[in-house]
Amino acid sequence: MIKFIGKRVLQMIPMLLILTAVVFFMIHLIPGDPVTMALGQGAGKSVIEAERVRLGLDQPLYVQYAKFLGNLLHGDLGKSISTHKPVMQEILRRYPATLALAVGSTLVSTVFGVVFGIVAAVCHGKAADNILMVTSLISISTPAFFLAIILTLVFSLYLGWFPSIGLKSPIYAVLPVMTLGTQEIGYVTRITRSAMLDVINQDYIRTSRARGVSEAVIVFGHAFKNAMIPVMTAVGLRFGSLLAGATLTETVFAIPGIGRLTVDAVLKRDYPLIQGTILVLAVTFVVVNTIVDILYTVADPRIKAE
Amino acid sequence: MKKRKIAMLISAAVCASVLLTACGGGSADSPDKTAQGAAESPSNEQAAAGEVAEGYKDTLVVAAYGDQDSMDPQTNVKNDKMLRLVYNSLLTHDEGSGIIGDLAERWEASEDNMTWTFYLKKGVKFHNGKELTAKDVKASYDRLLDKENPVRYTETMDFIDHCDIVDDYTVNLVMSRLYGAVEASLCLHANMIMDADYIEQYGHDIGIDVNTINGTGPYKLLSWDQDEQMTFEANPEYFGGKVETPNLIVQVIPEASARTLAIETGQVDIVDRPQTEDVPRLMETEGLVVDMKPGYGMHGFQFKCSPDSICSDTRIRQAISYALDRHAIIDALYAPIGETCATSALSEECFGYTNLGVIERDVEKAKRLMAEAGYPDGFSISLMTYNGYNKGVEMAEIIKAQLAEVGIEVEIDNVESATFTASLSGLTPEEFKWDMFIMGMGSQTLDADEGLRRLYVTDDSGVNTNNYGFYSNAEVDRLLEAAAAEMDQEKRHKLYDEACRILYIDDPVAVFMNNRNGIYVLTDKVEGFQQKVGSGGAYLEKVRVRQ
Repeated sequence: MIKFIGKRVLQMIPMLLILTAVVFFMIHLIPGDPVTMALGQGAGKSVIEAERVRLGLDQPLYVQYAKFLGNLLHGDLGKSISTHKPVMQEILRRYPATLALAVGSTLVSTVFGVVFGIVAAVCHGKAADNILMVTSLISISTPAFFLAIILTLVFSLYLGWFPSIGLKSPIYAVLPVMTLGTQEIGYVTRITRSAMLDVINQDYIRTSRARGVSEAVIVFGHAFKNAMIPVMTAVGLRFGSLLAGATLTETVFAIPGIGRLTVDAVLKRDYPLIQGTILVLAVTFVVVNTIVDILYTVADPRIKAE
Repeated sequence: MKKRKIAMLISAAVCASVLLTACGGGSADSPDKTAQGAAESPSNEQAAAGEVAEGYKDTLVVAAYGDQDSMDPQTNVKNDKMLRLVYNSLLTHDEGSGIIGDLAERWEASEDNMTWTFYLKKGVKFHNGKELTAKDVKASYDRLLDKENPVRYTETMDFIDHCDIVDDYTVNLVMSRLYGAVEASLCLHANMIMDADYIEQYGHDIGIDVNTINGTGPYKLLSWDQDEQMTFEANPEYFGGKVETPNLIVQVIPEASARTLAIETGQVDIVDRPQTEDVPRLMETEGLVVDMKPGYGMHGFQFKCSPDSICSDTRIRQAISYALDRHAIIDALYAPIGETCATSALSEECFGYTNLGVIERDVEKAKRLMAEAGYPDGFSISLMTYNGYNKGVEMAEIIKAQLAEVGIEVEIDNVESATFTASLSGLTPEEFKWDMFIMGMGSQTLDADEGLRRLYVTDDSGVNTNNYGFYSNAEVDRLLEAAAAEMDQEKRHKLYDEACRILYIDDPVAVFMNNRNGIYVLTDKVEGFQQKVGSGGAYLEKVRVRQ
């Protein structure tokens, strides 16, 4: 297991190197200058020039990249051009909120999605299956922004059950997690259902039934155990997209998360901040998928973590 | 065994989620990590900082649309409303456009107007208890005027050469040239006075976090989670009088509809800038009050006046100006928030403003001007807009429809903020590709000089760093330069009248559209609320909220 994790870490190094290079050179291709963005309209020419020199943006790109890598080796992601604060500090401040939302909505969606998916598969072709499939389609197709506003109106304005602004305690997470989780439930339901259907029609299930094994043991003990791998893969991948893709939800609920930070950084052309957020998101993504790989071995002992 | 492993993993994930959620809003800066809600009472320690009258809340919660980009007054460019709660300058605007002493008890200019002497109020204390003296004023101006290490406003303030200490409570600002708008310019937030010791200790890192901030204002910044929340406590020794509410929380809610919901659900007491469409409903909502006040800003579309643009011809610019029905545009887009049509190249609140009337739509005149310019059958222009300005895209669409009626075809380019800002600096006419572009006009100093000279005098550098549309008119140059150096304010006003007539009608630099309003929504329990024109902010230190 340790060997496997070590291998994944080593694999990560060239991947991150390539990623940083691609991101670094690509952000310089987008029109827009971070210095004029940070100094705003009407900044004098001398101060623009002085700021460019101070930030090292007057140097050739390869020199800037080499410096970035050098600092990275020391764990220094540089300073944000727009907020003048260390990038690492900015990311660490926002990371917990994003991670909390991603973990919360993944848990909610996995629990509900798996249950709904199993029910749909077991009731294949019946009314329950149809209702669940239509509902999951609606949940996938509902834009997060729209859902967030509707949930806020209902649960915050009319019922007054949950606060809608910020993320100060677990109760604040209810509406954003519901927003993000609703879409995810739809995905997980559909994936679980199709994985279950693949398994449920196989010979060994039929044999178990013929042997008089109870339906509950067949569904949960035999079928679902084998259907878990594709579900875990999907949940792992979706977790990555929840980290970076929750921008709209974060905006509506005024939660300062990584998604908003990344979008703001791009809009401000804040090069160090863009680099930093993408790097951290990539590392998280790899870590989560490594955990999923390890979980495979738990779900299916035939797979060895090697 | 395996089941137990899975169960352990799931339990760990649940625990992690709850823990992370619980600390999601906290930060290294935040002293109150367990705060249960913005509107709830702060800790006893914080409440002890100020007295609150019986029946009133000890915490005021304000929803802001955006955060300060910096709490360094000499670096801040995007939002200075909270800076004004923390710092003071020598002079400031009153609630209108008048100028009053802030840290200065009184002030006077030498006979030649080249030396301005400021007598400081005695007993003004910084938040750390230190008394403010001339040494702090000099240190702040030395940092601001340092040409070797310029800050954002070094060029803006270059009419001051240096600052001299006369005695502990008197300073001289020595001018580098005659300048007619000294007092108005000293109200800009770049002139706020910082602690000399902090300047020495933190240099250009001032304002990065709360430990680097020491002001004299009504509120002391306790914690700052950028783009999330600022918490303040009242300065018990504030020289400007009693601060009504001991604690202030400013919550950043970038989404306009979420800000509105926050006050409707009672999570905040005051909202800065609600969504325009929501305003009529909010005015009718029981328990809420909408406060509108004309500000210093305007919206409009500037012309590209370099020879490569069709708009280099004055007649074309005039034709476009006459082809537009401003009343229809403003009624359609800004009526709910009470904004009015522009009547000059300056807003009504600015020194130098004279009412030149709304330019009325005159299709015949527009067509005649087009024919005179050699385009009787119409022409095409490109127009850049940006939604960072309220209704910027909708305004562009109405302009397109109205201009089409006189045969002018408009191609709209809707850009995002970075492209917009980058387009307004360092571009040559070849690189700047739009014939018209959206622009916010206005003068934070409430003086015509800042609103006109920097933007419209001829710039020979060949790039559009300040004169965004390459406008050039020799008479405007002469008038604006003369007004800047004129010390007789009546004469200055006349010079601006002439300059505005040219910029607005005779050789228009832009289509000036609407005068902007400051708009706040308050609960009806809020008392003592008053907006300021100059900063677009409000006197939050005078606000109290009934329980």
